[in-house]
Amino acid sequence: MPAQFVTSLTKDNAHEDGIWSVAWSSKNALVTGSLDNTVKVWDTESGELKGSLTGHQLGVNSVDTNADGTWAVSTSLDSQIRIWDLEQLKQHKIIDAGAVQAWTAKFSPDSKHIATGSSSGNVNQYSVETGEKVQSFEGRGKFSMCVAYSPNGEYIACGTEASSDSATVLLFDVATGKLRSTFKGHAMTVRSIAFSDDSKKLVTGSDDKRIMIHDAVHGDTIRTLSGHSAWVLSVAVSNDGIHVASG
Amino acid sequence: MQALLYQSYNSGSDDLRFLARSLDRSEQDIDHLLYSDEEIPHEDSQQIENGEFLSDSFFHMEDVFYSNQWHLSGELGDMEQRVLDRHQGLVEKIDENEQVWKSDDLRFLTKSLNGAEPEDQDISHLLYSDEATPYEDSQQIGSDSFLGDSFFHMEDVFYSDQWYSSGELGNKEQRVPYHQQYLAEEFLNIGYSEPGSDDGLDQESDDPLEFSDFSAAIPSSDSIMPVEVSFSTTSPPVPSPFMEMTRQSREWVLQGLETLVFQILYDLSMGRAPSIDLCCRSKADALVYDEEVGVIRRKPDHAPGTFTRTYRYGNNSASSLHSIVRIIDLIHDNVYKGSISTKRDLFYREVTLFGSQTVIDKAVEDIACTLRVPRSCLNVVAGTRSVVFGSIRLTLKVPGNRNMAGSEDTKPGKTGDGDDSIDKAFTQSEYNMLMAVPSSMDDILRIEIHPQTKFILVIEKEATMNHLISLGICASHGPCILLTSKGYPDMVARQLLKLFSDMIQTGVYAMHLPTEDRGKSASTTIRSQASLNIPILALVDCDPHGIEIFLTYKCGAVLSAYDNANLAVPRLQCIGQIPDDWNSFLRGRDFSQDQGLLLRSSSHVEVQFQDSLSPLTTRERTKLVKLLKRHPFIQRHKGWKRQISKMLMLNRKSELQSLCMEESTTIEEGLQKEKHALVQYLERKLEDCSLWIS
Repeated sequence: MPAQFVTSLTKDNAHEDGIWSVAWSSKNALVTGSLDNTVKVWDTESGELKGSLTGHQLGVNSVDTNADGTWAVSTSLDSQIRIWDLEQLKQHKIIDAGAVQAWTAKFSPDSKHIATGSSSGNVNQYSVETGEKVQSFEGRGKFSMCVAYSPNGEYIACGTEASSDSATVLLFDVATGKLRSTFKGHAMTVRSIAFSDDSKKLVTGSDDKRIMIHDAVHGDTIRTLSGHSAWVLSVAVSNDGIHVASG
Repeated sequence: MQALLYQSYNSGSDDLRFLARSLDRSEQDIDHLLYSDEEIPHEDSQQIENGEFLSDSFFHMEDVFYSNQWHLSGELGDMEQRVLDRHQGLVEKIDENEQVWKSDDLRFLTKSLNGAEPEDQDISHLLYSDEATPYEDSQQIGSDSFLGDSFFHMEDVFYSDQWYSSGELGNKEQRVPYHQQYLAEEFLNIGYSEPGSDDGLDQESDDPLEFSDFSAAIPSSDSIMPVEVSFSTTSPPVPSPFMEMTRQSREWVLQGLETLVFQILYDLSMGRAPSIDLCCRSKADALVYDEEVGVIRRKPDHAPGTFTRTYRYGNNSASSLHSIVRIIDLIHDNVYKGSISTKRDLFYREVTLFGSQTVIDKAVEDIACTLRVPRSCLNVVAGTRSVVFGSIRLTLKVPGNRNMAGSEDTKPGKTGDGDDSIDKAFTQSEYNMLMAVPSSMDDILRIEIHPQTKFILVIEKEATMNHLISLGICASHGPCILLTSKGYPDMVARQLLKLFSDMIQTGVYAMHLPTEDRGKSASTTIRSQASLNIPILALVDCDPHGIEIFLTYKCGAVLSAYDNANLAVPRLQCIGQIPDDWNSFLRGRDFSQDQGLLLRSSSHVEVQFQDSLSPLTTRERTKLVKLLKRHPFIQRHKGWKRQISKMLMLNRKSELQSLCMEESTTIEEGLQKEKHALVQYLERKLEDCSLWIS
């Protein structure tokens, strides 16, 4: 029997404009990014606003926190990446990636790098300390809409915009920078991607209303799940590796 | 200048050697005259031979002006003759007792260069542009000191309005000391349009009673430089924060063009590489967003030379000085003869020189901006592609039967049958007739909008418009007017829309358009009691181009900022297509009963629609980001910001064509045929005003 989920906390008018991404932080904080150009940090116990981080010139389209909850990274529509210090609640660094070259950003598990997707299809990896581009993984030329690190830090996966008949999911090896495998199952744009905790499985959700589970190690697809009636915009895997949530 | 020196010297040279001959009788200290900046070894001047002096001196410059590559004088060739004719005509009108400034001043100049008068130091004062000379010197030179004055001050004199105005003062100039020229009353009558004057174009001054001031200051036919400047009687004129464009007479335009060319000759006489400064329409800091009205405008030139680009001889860019001068020549020709040509036509006159059409486009607009006139005053039109349909009646002039010149034409032999010829030659359209909008607003004699028109719809694509017409939108949804410009709007479409907007605002639904030929007296209007409540709506695709087209109609384009007062329609509202419309399709079947739905969607329409949502290209994304970051209108309107951000987030765009797909299955099932998707969409949008975005 599925457990009942109850809304534990609702915050109205948290942002002045639409909220487009949220990320949990391990220190009981919630980071939200919104169209009103701000990133806000909330305390999850009380629901109070801990701090509001401004500086982006356009709407924020993705936020992510690192493993210990000390940093947060956000990207905005003009491809500016900003790294924030969550403890002091101020900006740590700005990385300007070029006009349309940074879409979503994710921390690497060791918190040293940030990976972003770009409209040219490459996945770029930036260093957190220096803000320089460290590595670039060559994509297939299609907009890489979502990026994920595997928890063991070995792989980066990205899901791409659809070409005429299918959309691909690319899996790169971080150490060598090479493309490891390609998954072609989805018919339409892959909007979100997540690894399981043991880094063996990769879950992807797409506009074609399907969720697919792939085997990251061997490079083939395990299952396809259906049931959504519209675009799947995000997926996440629970820590025990048993459940997948999607929306 | 050249032409008038011909008068003095009767030399038949076709290039600038005349200047050499005029100087050849002078001694070697003439080199001081020409080399104000350079050190010239004295022995060069000893080698002076008859007529060769100037060519020697120019050999010291980087460029050889007299070589065969210098076409400039050739390009000016025909223009000289016309300038000559024109000034002939002007001279005849002036009282014989008064001195005509131009020929006399230049005669003076050449006379003094002959060494006939012992005024060497004054000559050097004349020609040294870098020396500051006290004002009193000018009094000593003589009453015809106009040109002396000009050459005193720095070359900024050339650019500033002082130059224009002092030129136009003409015969009055001697009687008025230089520094008082601004305030002279005669000055105001002769052509200088003060910033802030009521030119009838500002929306604030739209007084319904004086309807004939509605479109522009109309030149009257009696004075020589006939431009009326009307000051508002209630308050003193306030300098406008924007550059104002007014229609000017033919004379004014010709004068301005000639002045641009004189600049070159001036440079040459100073021994410098000639250059022309034209307004640069693309400098970002020249633009300012008018908050109240919501229109992008251009700042006025406070100091001479602001926001201009200099075209120098020798700069090998795409638009070289040669092209500019040739274009000025061609435009001068057209305005002089009163013939109208298209931009394409101008291009074909001299294809090898111009190279590409964009050179002409840019140059014509830059010249119009520099002279502060709308492009139509230069007698240049663009081929039009706009089409209008619906409850509107236009009376157009028959092309080819145009009156050749205005009533102030000075060409001898022209019969003065100005007024009758217009009435004989026109075409009248009827309601609900698909009409091509003419290439110039001057061709429209009369406009009549049906007073019961429900709305005016501006459509991006012609295909959509044809679809709507074939679906009978005008019959089923009330009398309406449809206008399309098949993409980015051309000037006439924008002017027409602006005219509609002004007519609606003032409650006029039929009017004659005042034109140069007919003057103010012939305009008649029919008006209703209150202002007509006709919304002006735009139907564009949901993609970056659509949004830009909407913004061009609404706030004006960046490159036409100098003329946006006449072109932008702030009342325009957008009824579609916006990303919020996608919500109904993206929600899935369970929510099909939702009120947010815009059509009763059958499933395959939904699927088709989803398929038609295509991804954005990188260029389109860049354009959207640019719009979000920099466009002043978008920055101030949250609704639009949200829509554009949504488009970026989902990385999708859609076109109106997606609503035009046929539903064939419903007929087979025997159900009553549902209304076409596009019609449904339009209906829903028209009913609910809150769905419109302005």
